[in-house]
Order: sequence, then structure tokens, then C-alpha cells
Amino acid sequence: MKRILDVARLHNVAWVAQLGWPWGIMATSLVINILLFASIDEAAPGKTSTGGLSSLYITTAIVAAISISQVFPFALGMGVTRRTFYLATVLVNVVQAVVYGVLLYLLNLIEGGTGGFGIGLHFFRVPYVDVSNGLLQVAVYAVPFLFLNFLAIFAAVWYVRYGTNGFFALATATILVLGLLAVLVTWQGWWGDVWHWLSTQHQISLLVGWPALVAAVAALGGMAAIRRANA
Amino acid sequence: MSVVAAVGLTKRYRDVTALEDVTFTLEENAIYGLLGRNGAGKTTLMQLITGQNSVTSGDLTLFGGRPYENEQALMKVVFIKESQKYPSAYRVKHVLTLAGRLFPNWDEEFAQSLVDDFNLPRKREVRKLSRGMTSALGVTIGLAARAPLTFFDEPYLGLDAVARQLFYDRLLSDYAEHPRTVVLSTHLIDEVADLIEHVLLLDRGKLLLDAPSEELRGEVMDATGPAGVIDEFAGSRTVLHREQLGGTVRVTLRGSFDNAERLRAKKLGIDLEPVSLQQAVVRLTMERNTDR
Repeated sequence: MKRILDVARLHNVAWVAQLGWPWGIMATSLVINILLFASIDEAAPGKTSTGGLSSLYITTAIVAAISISQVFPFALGMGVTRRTFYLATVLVNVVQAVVYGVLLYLLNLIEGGTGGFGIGLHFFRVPYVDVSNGLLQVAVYAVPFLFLNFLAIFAAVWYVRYGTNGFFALATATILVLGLLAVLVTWQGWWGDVWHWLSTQHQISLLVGWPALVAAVAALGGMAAIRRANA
Repeated sequence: MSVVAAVGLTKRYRDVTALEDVTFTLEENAIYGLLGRNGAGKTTLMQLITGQNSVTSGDLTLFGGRPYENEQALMKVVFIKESQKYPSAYRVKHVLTLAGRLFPNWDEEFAQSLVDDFNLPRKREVRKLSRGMTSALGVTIGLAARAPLTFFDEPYLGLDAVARQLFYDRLLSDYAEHPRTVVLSTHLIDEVADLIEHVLLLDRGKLLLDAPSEELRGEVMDATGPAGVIDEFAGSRTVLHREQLGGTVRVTLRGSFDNAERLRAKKLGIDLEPVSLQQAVVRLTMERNTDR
């Protein structure tokens, strides 16, 4: 375990890049949104929500992917095993998702307490994703980090192992499978059933349950792929 | 117990055989020179020993176990290579902090003194370092890690002569105080000739030579003398090289010479002298290549 913690330091020793960019970009987005909505005289009720928060998730996922493609070759060169490196990566990403979830929840409370930064802005209180239970709200914020990061990590591990051609082959295969699935659903006229299934899913299943399951599968896939990867 | 033991070690990439049936051991507390031309398989061999790549066939042990994904064994190894990549956000001080955590025998004081010796800017991003400074950072890690098995793969690229001398000096003095197994892979054979105790010579994936460097030095000699007597003197010995200038011939001969033979050479007017380690390696490699 100590070795895993030591290796985890590889990910956050240069914390400016790991923390600074995602939150910096999100803060910029927040400021722009506040200025934008403050400059609109009468924002229509319910129209003061924004997708600005997604910038944090996307940047965090990019940081996770870069950390694989850059930190892994360095770790291997320092005598770290693939297994230890990957477990440390999982640890860092899970802890990070929880911490980010708590931070977003606190920002959510601040936004609520200040009446949406005084202008009724819904930056952190995203409609549908805004739930009443505090602990649940942390999970709702945290799980999408896991979902996106572990998909990004899986893609990055695949790239490290199989190179550019392998990476695009995987992308092509994914498009092919998903595309054919869509064709099949359309051909069979199953879209109604699909929407029905989605609409009967509990909000928590859609926001937490299913994404967490996909994240877990991607994380296991990454583990399997990295065991034979060479930098 | 040997530090490394390889028996019939082979590594193939699709249609290229990088290493073929290589058998040798690395023993405790010795400095090895891993020599050979570009593409001879030196880096591949070090990658296999350090678990960075998988063995195709043959047996390879590192501290008694298979190296691949062997945490306990790999923690005793440091592998400094010219091609080492560093994450773009890392600064020199980050790399030193991390190395300090990852290598159990790390000596922070020694590391800091090396950073000063090489004038490494601690706060600069590694990707902004010059070629030579990046090499100096690698050398610093490799020495301060004090790993029981230390690999230096062409560690001096871009290092000036003064910095290289500094590296050799620090290596020797630290080795004297903290003996360990060091493998130097290099093209600058003459520069490291005095350091190397044992030579492993690879050529086209095969191990051409595995001998103490002292033995090797007495093993290859240049004989210079009148054309008439040289060939008689050479006798049945392997002639690695021959060049003629007017009536004078110089041949590079393989095999050791006892006192009687040395005396005979003197009487025949033949000048007998050992070649440098670099010359010996060049002649032996070229001989094998003309054999094919």
C-alpha cells in the first residue's frame, strides 16, 4: 500500500497542472456566465441555467488521459510495475472524484445561499442533476468524473499499448458497433421501448448507478490492457 | 546468487530478432560494459532485464525472480536511458522528489550535491532542459538511487567532456563506498575503459564476448614489423586485421602471448603492444561481420 501511495504522488506532484487547469477553466467559465447573465436585463425564469460546469469534467478527463500517456512511461522507467501504477491511478481518480464532488456540493450551497450569485444563475445547480439530499448530491457530482475519467484512461492505455493505429481502430470499432446498434433499433422500431426504459429508470440509476457501472467496467478494461503495455 | 542470470534469452519483434540465444550472468558488485554497435540489442537486453518488455523465449531471472511485473526485484534496479520521457508538467525538483520516494536506497544529500555539480536548475521544467542537462538529471537519479543494479544506457548524450568526467569520477568514488552492480552501455569505449571490469559485447543480437576487461586487453595485440617475419610470427593465430605500409606490416592478433613469445618477437624486430579496449572491440566485431 505504501508503494501505491508513493506512486500516486507521480500524478499530483505537479499539482498546478492537475488541479489548476480544470478549476481555472471552470472558474473562467463561471465568471463569463455571471457577466453574461448579469448583462441580460430580464433573464426569462428557468432560462438561467448553463452548461459551463461541463468544462470542469471535460478538462479533468483530458488531464487523466494525459497522465496515462505521459506519466506511465516515466513510471515504468523508474521501476514501477504496471499493476502498481494502475492501482495508484485508480486511487488518485477515485479520491479526486470524491473531493471534487464535495467541492462542487459546497459551491452548490453557496450558489443557493446567494440566490445564484445575486442574479439567479444556475451554474452548479444544474436542472435534473440538482437533488435534495446532500450526500446524494455529492455522488451525483462525483460519479460523472469517474465515468469520463475511466473511459479517458481506458482510451489512453489503449493508445499507449497499441499506438495511433490501434487507437483509431478502436474508435472505428466503437462507432461501428454503436452505429449498427442504432440501425438495429431503428429497423426493429425499438426506439419507443428504449425511451420508455430510460424514462422509467430512477433518477439516481441514471445519474449514479449506470455511469458508475460503466466506469467500473472501463477501469477493469484499463487494468487488463495495461498489464502487457510497454512504454 | 547472481544479480541477473540469462539462459538462451531470445527476443523477437514480428520479423526482427533483437536478441538470440543470449546466455550470461551479472554478478554482485562489479562494473560491466555492455558494448556493441547500434542495433546490436543492448537496449532491448536492458529493457528485458528491467521488466519493460517481455521475453520471447529463454530464461531470465533478476534477483532470483522473473523481472516482468516483479515489484520486489524492480525496486532494486534503476535504469537510466537517454530516451527517458518525463511528463511535461514536471520540474527538476519534482523528479528528484519522486525518485526519492521510489528508490529505497535514495541518498538525498548525494542527489543535491550532484544537482549542484551539474548546475541543474531545480525549478526549471524538465522539457525545457537542454539535451546535456536532461542527461545530467538522469545521471543524478542513477547515482543517487544507489540501486543494487544500476543501468546507464548512453547516459552522457549532450554532456560536455567536463560533465562526463564528473560523472565518471562520482560513479567511481560512490561505487567504492557503496559497491553495487553497474552496467554501462556506451559507444565511448575508451572513455570508460578504466571503469569497466567486465565486458559484454553484443553483435546483431548475439553475445560475441563475455570476458573480464583485463583478459580482453591482453587477448588482442598489435604486432608491427618487417613484412617477411610478421606472418611467420603470427603463425596459426587469428589475424583480426592487417595493414601494410611499404615493407612494414601491422597485424592485430587474437590470443595471449607468454614471455617466450614476447622475447621472440623482440628478436625478430617485431613491436608487440596491446590494443585499446575500443580497438579490441572494433576488431572483434568486424571479424565476426566478415565471417558471415
